[in-house]
Amino acid sequence: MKEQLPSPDFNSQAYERPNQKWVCGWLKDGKPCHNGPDGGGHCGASDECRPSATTHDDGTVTYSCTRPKSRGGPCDEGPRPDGRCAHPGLRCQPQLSLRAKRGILTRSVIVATFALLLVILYGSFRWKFISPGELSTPHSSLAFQQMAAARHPGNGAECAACHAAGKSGPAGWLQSASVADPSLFEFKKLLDNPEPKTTGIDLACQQCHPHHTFHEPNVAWEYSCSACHKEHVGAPDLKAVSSSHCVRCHGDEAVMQASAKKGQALSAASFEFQHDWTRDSFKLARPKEGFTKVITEFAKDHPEFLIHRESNKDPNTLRFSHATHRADHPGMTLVNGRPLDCASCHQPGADGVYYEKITFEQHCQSCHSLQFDRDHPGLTLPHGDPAHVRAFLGSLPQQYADYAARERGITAQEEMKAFVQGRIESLRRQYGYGEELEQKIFHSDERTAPASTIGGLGIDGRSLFPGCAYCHEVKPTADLPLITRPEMPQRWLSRGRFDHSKHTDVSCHVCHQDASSSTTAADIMLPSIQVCISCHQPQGGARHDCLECHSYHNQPEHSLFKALKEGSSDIPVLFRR
Amino acid sequence: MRISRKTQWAVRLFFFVLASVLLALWFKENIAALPRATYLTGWLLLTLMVILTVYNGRKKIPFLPLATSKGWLQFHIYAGFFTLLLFVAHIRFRAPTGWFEGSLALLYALVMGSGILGLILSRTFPKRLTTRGGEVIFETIPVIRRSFRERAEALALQSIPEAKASTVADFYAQELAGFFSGPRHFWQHLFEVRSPLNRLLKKIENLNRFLNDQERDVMRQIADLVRQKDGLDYHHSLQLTLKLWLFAHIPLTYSLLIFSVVHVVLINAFSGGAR
Repeated sequence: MKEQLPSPDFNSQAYERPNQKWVCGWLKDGKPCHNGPDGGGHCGASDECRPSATTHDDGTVTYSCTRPKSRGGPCDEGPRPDGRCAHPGLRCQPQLSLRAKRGILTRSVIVATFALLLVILYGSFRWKFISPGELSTPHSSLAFQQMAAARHPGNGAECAACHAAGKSGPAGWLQSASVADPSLFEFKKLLDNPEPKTTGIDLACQQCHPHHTFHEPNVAWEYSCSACHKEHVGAPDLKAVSSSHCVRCHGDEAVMQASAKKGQALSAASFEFQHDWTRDSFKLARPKEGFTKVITEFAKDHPEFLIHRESNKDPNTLRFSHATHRADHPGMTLVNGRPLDCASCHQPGADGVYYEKITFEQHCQSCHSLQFDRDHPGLTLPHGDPAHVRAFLGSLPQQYADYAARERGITAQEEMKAFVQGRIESLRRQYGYGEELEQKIFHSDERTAPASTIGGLGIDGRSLFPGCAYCHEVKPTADLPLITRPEMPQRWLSRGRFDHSKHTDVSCHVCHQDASSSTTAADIMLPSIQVCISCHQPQGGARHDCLECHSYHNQPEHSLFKALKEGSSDIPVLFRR
Repeated sequence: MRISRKTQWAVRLFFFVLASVLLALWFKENIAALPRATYLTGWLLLTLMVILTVYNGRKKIPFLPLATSKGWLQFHIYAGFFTLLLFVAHIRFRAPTGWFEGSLALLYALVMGSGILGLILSRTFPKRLTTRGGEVIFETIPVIRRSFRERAEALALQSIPEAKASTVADFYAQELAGFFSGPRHFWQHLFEVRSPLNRLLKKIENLNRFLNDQERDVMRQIADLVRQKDGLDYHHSLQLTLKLWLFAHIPLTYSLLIFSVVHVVLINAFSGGAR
């Protein structure tokens, strides 16, 4: 194949110089002139020679060809009689070399880029153009837009709500860039690893979020809002904070020590913390050193739940045994046709996150009716207040009369009178006179109760009333007995968040292992941290980041959203209408 | 012992990958955790892009003793690939969002892509040209093409009085004049498609049945010229491509630099530390 092309006709004098800006216009046709164009792109074509004149003795002038050997030597025709070359150069329109065309294209693109940027950056599209991504849902809401427009009338209001540079144009941006921290050329600062304290832009956050309080008052330094909350990354991600921000402090021994030291100088009241202020939480004493143990990972070094660290007991005075309420407990009957299980009493709220409070009316009364007269299940004592019980007992004839009219349809006066007297007499035979009856109702336990048998009597599955003291702590006083009200907290791990609805795949007993054997309400049947870790670890498949349970910010009852929802006076002026 | 080019490449690639991995590990341990790691990678990326751009300027001042052009090219290639690592680290492995950042990333991708394309072309085309044969200076191609055309035309005209027939001349005018008049079959040559040449040679072969010995001899010479012209077009096609990729790479580089400078200003002006 190599012989298919001729060897290059390498003539050093006619050597092509691709770096030259202009080339002969005849090159395209394969016959460029020898001179070529000059640097300005002007055709350099000339005659092939400049004939030399010879003046003879007779005064005549003859011309001879002076074409150099390199171009073929003197031509056969020789110059014309008037002394002009017989081979005049053909003029052409010089062409730009490929390299020169590339240079022009490059310069054109540079100019076009500048022009495009100037048009866009000084135009109305600039804010959308420079935005690095979609705003989060709250910051792209109509309320936020209206607030921003009110504060910063004109184009770019949304940007100006957070960015000082958003109040100006490109010239202002340059100024803002030069005074930023770090500024444009402070390269040394880029290598620093300072604490992410509040920055300039965080001040803008706090204009709308004035109750931006932190999770603990002994926090070593206020963490920058923008360090955790990454804006311009779309709708759902503003609250998605990486655990690395938590570990930045909680994994640092020095920071934790500083925090512990600071905490010692603060009052205990300032540490009051509750994740959910709408629910009763189990109160736990704050550890002396606070919550300053170094933690780097939940599965690795998170301490045991505070509730298990000390031998805490449920302060509930109710005499209740989970073991007795098991479906397989001897004598246990069906409830509403079903065996008793956890869900019979423990029912989740509408959102399924937490379980609703246990109430007598909803969860106990169906079995433990306050029926004191064995022959009349429809007549029960009132629950909740000893005074009401006493009043009920004081008006017992009237209660029987009402009962006779309501349940038996007795309306004739004589018949009703006979019925009431009969019931009163019956009670006297069973329990003695009024005071004795009241004493037994308030203070009797199951052995001496008006009706001591639990279950299987009366209506199917219902028990008769054994006395208040059967379930409650009853303290006698000179007047009414004092019945201790059962305290049943809804939140036990008050420093964290727990969502039952996310744990419906496992049965109650997986976490609350002691529930079926517990015989007293004082038992706290929460799982240990190891139970949680079995799933909430990298190998377990469940999330194990800090935010899964904790939040950095304290006192959500002061949140902007709640204030907006409730129309509170705490709404920042900016959002008020 | 002479080391083959493939081995040299493999060794270079190995050390490049090794250096990249070590740098990535060092970056992860020492830089990534810094709160302003993105600023650092950004500045490093911009600096490297400026240095890479200077390579174009270096070619314009060959008289200065600034290392060899080959050395600069090698640096340009490896540093270019290193910017890819820096770029990925800078954007933190996520696709950029927003018009400006999207445009910036697109420009980077175009510059990087055109650079990689140029590297592939400059590594493969010379081999293909050598395999095809011949050695032609790109700027002299029109001159050589003209000489082929003149010789072919002369042969076609020469055949008329010799053979007392215009068959060859007519065939030249109908089938070959256009072929010899300029560069032909650009894309086919780029992709090594030989069918246009084979078609022409087939036509010549078919014509030979109708020619006498003299005409057949002329036609044989013209066929040789056709093959040479096709080789010349092959050189033109590949050499032109070797120059054309720079029409994308260089202008886009400057555009990228301008966008990058604006990006630096925007980032600092709208950053958390801005006041």
